[in-house]
Amino acid sequence: MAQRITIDPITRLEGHGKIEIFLDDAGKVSRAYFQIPELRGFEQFAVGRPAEEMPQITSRICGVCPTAHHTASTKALDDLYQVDPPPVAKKLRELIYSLFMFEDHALHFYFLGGPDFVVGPKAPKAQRNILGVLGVVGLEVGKRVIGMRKELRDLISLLGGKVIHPVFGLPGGVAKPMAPADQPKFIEAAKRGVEFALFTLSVFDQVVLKNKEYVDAITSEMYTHRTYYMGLVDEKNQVNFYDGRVRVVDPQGKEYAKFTAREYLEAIAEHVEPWTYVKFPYLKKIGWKGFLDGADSGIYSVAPLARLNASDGMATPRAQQAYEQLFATLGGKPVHHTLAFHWARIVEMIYAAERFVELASDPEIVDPNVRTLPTAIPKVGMGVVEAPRGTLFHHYETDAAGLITKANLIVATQNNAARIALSVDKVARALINASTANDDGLLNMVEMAFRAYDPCHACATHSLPGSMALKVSIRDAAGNLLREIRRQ
Amino acid sequence: MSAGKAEGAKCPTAPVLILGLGNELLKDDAVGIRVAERLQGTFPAGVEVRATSLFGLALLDELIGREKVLLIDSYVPEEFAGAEIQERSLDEVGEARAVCPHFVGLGEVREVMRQLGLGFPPEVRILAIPVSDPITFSTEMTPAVAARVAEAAEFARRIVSEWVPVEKKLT
Repeated sequence: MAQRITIDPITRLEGHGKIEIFLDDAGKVSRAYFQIPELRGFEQFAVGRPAEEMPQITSRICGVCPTAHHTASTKALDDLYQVDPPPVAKKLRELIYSLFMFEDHALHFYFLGGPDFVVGPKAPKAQRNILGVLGVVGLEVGKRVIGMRKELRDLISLLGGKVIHPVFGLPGGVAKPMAPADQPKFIEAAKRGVEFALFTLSVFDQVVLKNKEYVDAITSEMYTHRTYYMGLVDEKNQVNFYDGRVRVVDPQGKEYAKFTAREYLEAIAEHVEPWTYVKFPYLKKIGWKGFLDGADSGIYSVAPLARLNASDGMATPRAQQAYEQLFATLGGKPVHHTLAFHWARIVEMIYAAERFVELASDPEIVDPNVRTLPTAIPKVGMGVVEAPRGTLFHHYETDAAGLITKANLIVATQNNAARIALSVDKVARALINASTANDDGLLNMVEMAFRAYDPCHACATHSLPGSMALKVSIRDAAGNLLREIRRQ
Repeated sequence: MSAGKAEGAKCPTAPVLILGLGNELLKDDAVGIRVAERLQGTFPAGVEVRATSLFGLALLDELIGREKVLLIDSYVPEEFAGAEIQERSLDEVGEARAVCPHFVGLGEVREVMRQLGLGFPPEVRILAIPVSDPITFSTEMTPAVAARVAEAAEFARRIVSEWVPVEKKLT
């Protein structure tokens, strides 16, 4: 019988990811654990701070997606002060947010999606690197992405004063209106964004969909999990990044729950494991049944594919076409294949660009009335947005002076933590035994299991190296180290 | 849409950049920023000192058009006690193999800039400061880390003095 092994989470302060794989007496995987350095102590840090500072503070949590935290925090302040921003303020927030989502998704696809997405899991190591997609479509496209990125960031600075951590969201509105003279710049940039998003879909069609080997990889059982799915939807159950209600569908695609940000504590609970500081959110009424797939397990997923699964469609026409194409190709809704996250990201890129056009072209977008001053005594506030990597909740409680007494975040990756654990465990079981050869191929396949989710934890730190080093340890039933594979 | 600058193009900003990397909310991860703050105003024209908490491909904005760059960042040693402030080479940072935005580091940025002809700085040096805890939310560094900010700043000045004349020692 395999001995019970205890993993001490205190040893996780090492700045890199770890995968601990335990074999049973027969040399097969009994369990695999995925651990990455988790940010800690946010609640203690927030207590005593003025709630109004939180959009600026929390935008520094993540160096890749600061706009997501800034916006979720701003919405939590609206709720905290019971103030309803004027329509133009909501539109401006959503405009900036759409711009951010578009840029983020574009960077991900062209610069980072290549190895798993275009080159494929069996490609040699030398091909599995950044610029993987650009290696296929040409470097001029890469320059176009960089140029577009700069243009979009310049537009953010027009509204927010600066690109880096803009002063933009305020309780009850935004800091400044859009100048009428600037509106044409936004409209033109948005139209170019739609054109580019559609070009991206054509690239994907040529490079991926016409490659049967890749489609087979997407639908392989090793990278498939049948969980619940969560995402924000509007009143028509269409995907919305900025606002709406949180909708959950079951593994068959049937609506299971729909709730507001305020109701998240009734819907979601957090499970604790002794081997990690990360808490695993799960659907409260179903309960925690362990690291299992299926309708009887409370595990759910977030992020692009989950959003598409949880919705009834996209709110803009070209995105809707792409949405329909995805599900028609992959056998209908819901799609459970993890690698399809990359495809869903393109569908969302189209929606973000089209929504950007709609908002930038709206005559109301230059209305100077951008804020309703809050007057209520603060007490509790909750805000939710869809970050690029999933549903993001901010929850603040304050005293009457607006100083925080309690704070909680459920970040996007945390919502996916249980499914990521399932993914790593499943791949490890499929690939590893006491005599497994080819460290590089093994490492790559295991990495594929979690990088489709683009985990966002210690990304906020800058400790060298920037890339997350990874260590995979394979141990026998007694916990003795058999092999260690390091990726620096 | 405009592409980035081609390699060899004229620098639009200061040719020498000292860039402190860090996150002021995450305890010891602030050290790169604190060292940059200490260095502000201590160099002649042509040397720019900046700090950023942005990450990944956002570093492109800082590096485009520079001739020489000193990056100041933290690292987590196997054993914190006795760990040295070190100069690291760019090649040590690692191969460019990140496949999602949160795993992009300097190696990936270099690869992007080189392949797209964006003018990766001809000389990039890295000053790495050992830290104990970069993942706990706090605006206060570990005392042992905070105590080394001055030492790290002097180390940085010695590196920059190989590029431009640097006068008196910091007090």
